Amino acid sequence: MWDVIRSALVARRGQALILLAIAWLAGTALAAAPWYAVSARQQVGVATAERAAAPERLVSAAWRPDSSHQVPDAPVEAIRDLFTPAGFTSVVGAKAEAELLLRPTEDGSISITVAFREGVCGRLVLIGECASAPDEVMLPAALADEVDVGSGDEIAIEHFERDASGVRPVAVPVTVSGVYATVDPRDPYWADAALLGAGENREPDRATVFVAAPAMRDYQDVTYTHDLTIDPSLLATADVDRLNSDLGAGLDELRRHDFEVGAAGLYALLERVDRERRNVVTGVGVGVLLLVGLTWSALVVVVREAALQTQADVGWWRLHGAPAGRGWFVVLVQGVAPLTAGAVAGVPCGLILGRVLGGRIDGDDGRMATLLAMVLVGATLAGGLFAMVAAQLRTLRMPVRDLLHQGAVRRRRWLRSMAEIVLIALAAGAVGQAVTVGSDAHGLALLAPALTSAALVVMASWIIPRVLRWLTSRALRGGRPALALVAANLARLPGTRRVFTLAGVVVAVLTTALVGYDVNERTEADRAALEAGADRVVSVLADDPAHLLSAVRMADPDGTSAMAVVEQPTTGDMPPVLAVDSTRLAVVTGWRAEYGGAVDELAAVLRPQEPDVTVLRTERIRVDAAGRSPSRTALYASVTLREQESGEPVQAVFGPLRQTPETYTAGTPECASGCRLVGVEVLADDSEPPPSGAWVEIHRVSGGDQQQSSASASPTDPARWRPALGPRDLGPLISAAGPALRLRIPDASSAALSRNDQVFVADAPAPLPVVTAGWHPPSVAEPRLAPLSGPPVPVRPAATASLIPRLGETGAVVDLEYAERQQPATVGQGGFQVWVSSSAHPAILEELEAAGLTVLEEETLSDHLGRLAASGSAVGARFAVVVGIIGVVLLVGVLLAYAIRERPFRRAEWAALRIQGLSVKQRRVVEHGGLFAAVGAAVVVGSVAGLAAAAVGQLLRPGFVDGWSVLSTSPVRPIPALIVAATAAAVLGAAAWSVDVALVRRTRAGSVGGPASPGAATPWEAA
Amino acid sequence: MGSISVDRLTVAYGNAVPVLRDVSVDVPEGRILAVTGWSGAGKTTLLRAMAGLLPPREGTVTVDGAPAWPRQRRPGRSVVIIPQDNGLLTALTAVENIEAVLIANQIRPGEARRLALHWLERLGLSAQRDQVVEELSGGQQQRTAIARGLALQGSVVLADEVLSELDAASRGMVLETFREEANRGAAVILATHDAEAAAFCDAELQLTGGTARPRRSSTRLIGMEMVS
Repeated sequence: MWDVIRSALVARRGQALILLAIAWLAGTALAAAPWYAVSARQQVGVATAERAAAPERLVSAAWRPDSSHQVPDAPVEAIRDLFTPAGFTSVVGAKAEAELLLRPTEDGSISITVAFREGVCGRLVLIGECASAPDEVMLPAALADEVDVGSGDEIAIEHFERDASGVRPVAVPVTVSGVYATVDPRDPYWADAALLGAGENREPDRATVFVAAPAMRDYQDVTYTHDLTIDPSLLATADVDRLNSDLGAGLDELRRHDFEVGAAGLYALLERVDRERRNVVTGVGVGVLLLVGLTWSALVVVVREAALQTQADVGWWRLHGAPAGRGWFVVLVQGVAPLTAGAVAGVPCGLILGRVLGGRIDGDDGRMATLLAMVLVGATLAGGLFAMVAAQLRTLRMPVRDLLHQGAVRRRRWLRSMAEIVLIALAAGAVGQAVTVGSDAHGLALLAPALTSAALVVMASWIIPRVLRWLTSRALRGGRPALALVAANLARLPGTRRVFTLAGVVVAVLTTALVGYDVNERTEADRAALEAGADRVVSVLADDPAHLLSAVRMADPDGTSAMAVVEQPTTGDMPPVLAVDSTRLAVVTGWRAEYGGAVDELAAVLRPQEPDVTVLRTERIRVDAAGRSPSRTALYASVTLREQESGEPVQAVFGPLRQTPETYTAGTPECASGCRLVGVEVLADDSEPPPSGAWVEIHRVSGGDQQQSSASASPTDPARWRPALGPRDLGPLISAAGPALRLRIPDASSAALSRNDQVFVADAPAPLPVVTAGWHPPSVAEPRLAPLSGPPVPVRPAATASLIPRLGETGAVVDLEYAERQQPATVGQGGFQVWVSSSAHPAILEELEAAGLTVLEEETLSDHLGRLAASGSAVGARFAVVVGIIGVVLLVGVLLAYAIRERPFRRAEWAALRIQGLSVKQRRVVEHGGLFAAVGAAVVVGSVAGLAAAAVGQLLRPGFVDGWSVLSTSPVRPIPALIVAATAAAVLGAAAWSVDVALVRRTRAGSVGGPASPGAATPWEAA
Repeated sequence: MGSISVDRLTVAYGNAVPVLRDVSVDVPEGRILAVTGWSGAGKTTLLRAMAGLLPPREGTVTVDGAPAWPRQRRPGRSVVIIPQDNGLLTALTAVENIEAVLIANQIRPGEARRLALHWLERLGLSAQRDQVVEELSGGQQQRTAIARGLALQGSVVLADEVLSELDAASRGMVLETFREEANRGAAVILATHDAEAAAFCDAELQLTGGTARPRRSSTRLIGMEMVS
C-alpha cells in the first residue's frame, strides 16, 4: 500500500508540490506574524518614547525645605531613596538664586542660579577643572566673557540669609575652577532644560553657575530636585497601566514628603504609548486574522482540488472490490503528507523570518510569540486536515459512477449558501458598527473592511453566473460561439466559482491594504511636509537677519535650493511668524493651496514691489552735515550701511558736527563693491544720549570718489526716511531744512516711550504686508507683529491662509528682506534657519558654511516621515499589505492547482470541438479566454470590493495618537487599486498562461510527424 | 453527394509498427460501411485517417476525389466525425453544444437553432435540450453527439462506436437515421462492435491486426455496388 501511495504522489507531483508549497507558505507566514506583531508592539513603545521631547520623559520632583524641615546630612541620597523606580535614570540636584558680584571697580551684579547637579561635569566641555571644593564654581562661557573672568579667578557670589533680624545679604568669595559649555543641550540629562540659560545663546534666562554638592549648604532657600527620566527601552515591555499605578504611588510618597512633583508630560507619553500599542495590536491582529482566513481558504480549495483528482482512485478501488477504507486511506495520505510536511517545515522558516523582519524581542514576550506562532500554524494545519477529511468523506458517500466521472460533479451547496448569508449579515453588522462608532470601534467592527470585501465578492459570485448564462445565450444568438463557450465555462464549470471568489477576496484584501497604506503614507507625508516646511531645515548661526539673507543668496545664487527663514515663536497674543525670502518660496516642500494660494501669488502679496534702495559704491564715504546741541554737547552722525554681497554691517561716524555744513569723510573699503545705506543715528560726545532739541542736518551722502544710487533714491529727501517702528520707539523728528535732511531729537515727554535716535531709509513698504492664518488682528489698534526678535512693527494683513508651513493653523508669513529693513537693528540670533529643497546639490551645507553661516542642526523631512512611519497605525498598514501579497502568492498556488486538475479535461473537449469545426482562433479564445476571463472578472470585482472596503476602513482609521488633526486624512484614490489590479492580473494571468503553455506543450509532444500513440492528439487537433 | 476512397493505406504512430497496413476501401454516396474488429484493431485510427486527422505513412485517402490529408484548417461540413468519447462540452446544454458547432461552421444563428432543435427532436432529446451535458445519461450524451454530427449535414459521416451506450430502441432509431443520411447522399462509415448494427450496413470491413478483410463484399467499390 505504501508503494501505491508513493507512486500516486509521484504521479500527481504537481498537485502535491502545490499543496506542499501553500502549506509551507502558510506555515511560514503564520509563524512569522506573531513574532512581527510582538516585536512591532515593543518597538512602537520604544520609538514613541525616543522621539518624545526630554520634558515628556521626565518626572520632576522639587523640595524646598523651610525652617521646619531638617535637611539631611546627605540630601541627595536621601531624596533618591524616597522613590527611584526601575527603568528610570535618576539625577538629583539642588539650586538657589544668587547674585554674581561684579569687580569692586564696577558697580552692580548679575542674577544667577547656583546649582549642583550630579554628574554635571561629564556633560560639560570645561576649560579648567570640575568644581569639587565648596568654594569652587564653574561659569558658563558667555557669562565668563561678560564679566571677564576665567579659570582660577576669584569672584564673589552674594546670597541672602534669613535670621531673627531678617534677611541680610552674604557675599561668599569663590574661585572659578572652570568655564563651561554644555556638550549637548538636548541630552535628556538636562531634563526640562531649566539650568540651560544664558550660556547657550538661548533665552536670556539666568546663567547657571555650577558648584559641588557641599557648597549648597552655604545657601538658604535651596530647592532640591530629583529628575527621573524614563529609559525608552523600559517601554518595550512595561505594562503601561502598572507603570502608571507605580508612578502614582511613588509620586504620592514624594508629596507626603512635601515634594512638588510634575509628571504630566510622562503621563501623556504613557497614554500615547498605550494607544500606539493598541494600534499595533489592532492593525497586526486584524492582519493575522485575515492571513489565517486566506491560508485556510487557499488550503481548502487546494485540498478539494487534490481530492477531486484522487476521487477516481477511490472509485476504481471500490469498483474492484477493495475495502473502501483502504482506498480512502490511500488517497487521504496523498494529501496529508504534503500538507503536514509543508506546514511543519514552514514553522522554523517563519520564526527565522519573524526575527529577521521584526528584530529582537525583549523579555518573555519571545516565548509568547513562539507559542502564538505554534497555535496559529496548528490551527491552520488542523483546518486544512479538516477540509481534507471532509472532502474525502464525501467520496465515501458518492456512487462509483460519480467517482469515475472526469471532473467535478455539480451539487447544491446549501451549507455554503448558509455560510455566505451569515457572512453578508456579519459584514452588514460590522459596517453598521463602524459607521456608528468610527475610529473607536473594536471587536467585529475592526473586521468591517475585510467582511465588506468578502461579502461583496460573494454577492458578485451570485450575480455573475446569471449574467454569464444570459451572455452565453446572447452570444450564440449573435453568432459568436467562442464567446458563448467562454461565458458558459465561467458560469457553469464546478469549482470556477470557488476560485473566482477566493481570487476576488484576495484582490480586494490587497486593494484595501494598498489603498489604506497609500492614504496613510500621504497623510503622513502631508503632516511631515507641513511640520518640516522643507526637505531640510537647517538651524544656523548668523550675525543678524541681513547676514543670513545675504549668505543664503551667496550660497545659492539661483534661488532654487535654499531659502533664508527666521522663525519667531509666539509672543504674547501675537502668533508665531515666519520671515521668509519670498523670492524662493518654491523650496517649500509640498506646497499647498492652504498656504495662501499659488506660490507666485503669495510671493507677490508678500513682496509687492522691489525695494527702493540707496547704494553707495565707494571706498571713502562723504557726508556733508551740520549739527547743534542745546547743551553744546558735541554731536556725531553715525551712518550705517550694509555690504550688498555679504550683508556685513559697515559703520561710519562723522563729527563732531558744526553748526554750518561741512564735509566729513570716512574710509569704507568694504563698500568698494557696493553698500546699501541703512540708517543714521544721532550720537552725542559722551556716553549720554543727545539732549532733546539737538538736531543734525544731512546735506549730502555720497561716495568720495564715485556714487551710485537708484533713480528715486535721494538720501536727503525726508520722505525717504523714517524712525524706528517699535510701539515704544520715540525717534528723531524728520524734516526738510532746505535741501537738507534735518533730524531733531524730540522731548521724552512720556514714560511709556523710549528714545531711539536712529532713523532709517524707508526702503520697504510700511506697514509690512503679511499673510496670516488663524490670527485676527485687533480691530481698533494698529495691527503689529514681531517678525524678527525685537519690537513688533506695523503690519498690513494682505491675505489670509488656512495654514502656514511649519507653524500650522496659526501663524503669519512676511518677507524677510522687507522685515529686516523694517527692523534693521535686530540683534537676536534665534530662529535663524535655511530651508533646503530636495533638489539642492549635496554641497549646499558646505557652501552655507563658506558663506559665513554656522550650521547648528539639521532637521529633515525624512526624519519627520520616519517618526510618523514608526507609529502603530503605520505598522498595521504595512502588515496589511504584506498579508495581501501573501494572499496573492497563495492564490497563484490555488490557480495552478485548479488549472492542473481542470484544464486537461477542458483541453480534451476543445480538441473535440476543433474536429467539429471550431476554428483555430475560436479554439484559442475558448482555451485561454476562460481562465483569463475568470481572473479578469475576479480582479475587477475584487478591485471594486477593495475600494468599497477601503472606504469603510477610513471610518476606522485611528488617526495620529497625539491628536494632531490640522490636516484631514488624505482621500482615498483609485491609483493603488489600479496598481493592484494590473499586478494581480499580470501575476495570475502569467500563472494561468504557464499552465496552458505546459499543457499545450505536453499535448503537442510527439505530434510532429504524427501522434506518438493512438490516444495522443493529432497535430491537427493540437493546433 | 459524397464518397470516400481509401487506397492501400498504411498508418503508424510515430516510428512504431503500423496500426493499419495496406487497407483499401471505397464508400460511394448513399452507402453505409460498417468497420468492425477487436478492440485495438485500428477502427478509430482508420476513421481518423479518413477524417484527415492522421497522415498516411503510405497510400491515400480521398474524399470526392480530393486528398483528405491534411484536413482543411476549417473542416467544413464535407467530412463529419462523431467521436467515440462524444466530444461534448460539459458546460453547455445539449442544444447549445449543437448550436455552437453549427455556428462555428458558418451556419447562421437562427438556422443553427432550428437545426439543433430538429435533430434533438429527431433523436428523441427534445425534453433534454436545455440540460447541461453532465446532467445527461451516457446514452443521451451519445445521441446528442450524433445529433450534432448529423446536423452538420456532411457528405461523409464517420461515426466511431456511437452505439455503445445506446439501448436497443435508441440504437434502432440511430441506425434508421444513418440510413436516412445515406439516402440523402452521404457516405456513412460506422465503426462498431455490434454485429446487428454491422448487419444493418451495406457492407462490412473487418479489421484484424491492422489489415482489412472484407466480410460481406469486396473492399472495393464494386463490392459495395454488389451489396446494394
